[in-house]
Amino acid sequence: MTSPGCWMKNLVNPNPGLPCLEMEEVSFAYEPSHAVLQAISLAIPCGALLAITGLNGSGKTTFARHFNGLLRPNRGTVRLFGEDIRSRSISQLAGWVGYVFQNPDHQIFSSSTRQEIAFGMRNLGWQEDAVQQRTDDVLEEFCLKPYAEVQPATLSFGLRRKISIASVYATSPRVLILDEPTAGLDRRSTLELMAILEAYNRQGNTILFITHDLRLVAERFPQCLVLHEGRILFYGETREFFRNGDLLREAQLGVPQITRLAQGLTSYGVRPDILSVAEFCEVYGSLLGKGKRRAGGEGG
Amino acid sequence: MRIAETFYIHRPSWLHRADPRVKVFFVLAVWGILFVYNTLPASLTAVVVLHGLLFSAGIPLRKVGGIWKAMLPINLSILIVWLLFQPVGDVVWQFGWVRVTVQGLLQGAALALRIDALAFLLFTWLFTTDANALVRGFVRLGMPYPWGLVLTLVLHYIPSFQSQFYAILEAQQARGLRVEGKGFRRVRALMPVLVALVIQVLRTADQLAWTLEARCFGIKGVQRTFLHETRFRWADYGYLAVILGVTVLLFYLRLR
Repeated sequence: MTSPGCWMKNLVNPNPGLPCLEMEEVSFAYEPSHAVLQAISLAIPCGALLAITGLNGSGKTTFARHFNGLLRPNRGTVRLFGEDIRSRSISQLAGWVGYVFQNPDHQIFSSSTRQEIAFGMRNLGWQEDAVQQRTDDVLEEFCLKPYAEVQPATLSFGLRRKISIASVYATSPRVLILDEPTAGLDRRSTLELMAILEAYNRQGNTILFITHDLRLVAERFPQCLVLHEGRILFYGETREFFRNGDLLREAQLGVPQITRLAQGLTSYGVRPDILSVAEFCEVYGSLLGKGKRRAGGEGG
Repeated sequence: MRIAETFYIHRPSWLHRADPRVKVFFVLAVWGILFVYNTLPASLTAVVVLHGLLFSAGIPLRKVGGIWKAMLPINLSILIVWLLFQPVGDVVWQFGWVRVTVQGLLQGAALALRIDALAFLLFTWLFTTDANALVRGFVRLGMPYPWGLVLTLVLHYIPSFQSQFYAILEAQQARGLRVEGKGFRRVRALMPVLVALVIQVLRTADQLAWTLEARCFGIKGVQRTFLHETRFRWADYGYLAVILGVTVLLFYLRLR
């Protein structure tokens, strides 16, 4: 595969010790009177699979847009692989940080799905044979082969969403940011997308996934970042977030039903940080087993 | 980048409170005056008066500057074209066959200022009249309601499509699109943005037609009512009298 034609050419294997994305005291406001991000500092390690969540207007999109230069901080520094990106243009950063927009129609313009997917790679100066190869692979991976020669603008919203994700994914960015990519996707498509992203993450790439779907966060993301009124309310293990009742109340987010059920059953010995039905079944099964054994023991 | 979704700027000013029909008459009257007085001093006076109106209505300096910024390329092109096509007169500066003359400069400036005056006239109207009031005004003047609605939609969607243009530009840049060069090269580089915008515009128009129809728009034999009735106040009669008086006087002075 051809490396992206941009300024970080020499950075083929970034130092694994360095954080992949960093923010230092970053503040941002669209209007001077209303700060959207307030002195945010954090470091995201390479290879993270991170869900970003929070209420509407909490600053999720604004936060993520700083990493590919779509927004520049009013104060503070944003670093990519340790380098300050202040003087880098959006198209320079595009080879390293892929950004999938909320609205797929903001990027779809080509006369065929194949062309749409190849667009980003061509912009980044990939060789034509590499573009063709990668396009075929991505069409296959996203189950878009039947639509390869169809005009993407005429397809359904779900398919347009998939194409918009596929076209950014195709450029093989080291960091992939997705802004509510599952809005408008059914459960099956969502899980298919997650499988692709998890495989991509296992190759060492970093994924930032903005979502309101807390069930998805609980089930599929080991780490999450919760924003609230332009500040970081929580950044760490997803399980730890769901365990903390005070944080959950402050974040005002809908907790997955299975976690709520577990929290309602803590007095019966169920852990409050259960994140999926499978996990609940396991815990509940073992409790029943204990109960049976105890009942059997008492009877004997 | 964030852009307002409408031209209207809410302020508690006399110009905002004026009846929308008075403002329609005002626009027509000033347009007519600029048509018969096509001189540099007349255009300059109109621009100054319109600035006075904008500031008295509490329109921020930033917005007024925005109009000048938008008009700058048009002004420059008019000046350049006039300089090239008006080679006769007192030469100020000459380079090869290009001659800059006093007459060329003055005529270019007169035309540019006239276009500026028309732009400021339009924005004085749009900045101070919200879309619903605008339609109410037109409907009270006898325009069929559907036409009035189409007009509002057009006015509403111009800034909205402008903000979509920037959103699409960002989305394509995030896929590595470089928008470089000037003139035709720049337009070619912008094709992925423009095509996506046209698709978006068509989609919006189609959906809008459906959503209007789904809410029974256009049913025959229905008497439409308005929440806010447009009524002339004493002040409105006063404004109308001033506009009529000034217009008739200026037309008389010019055409007698």
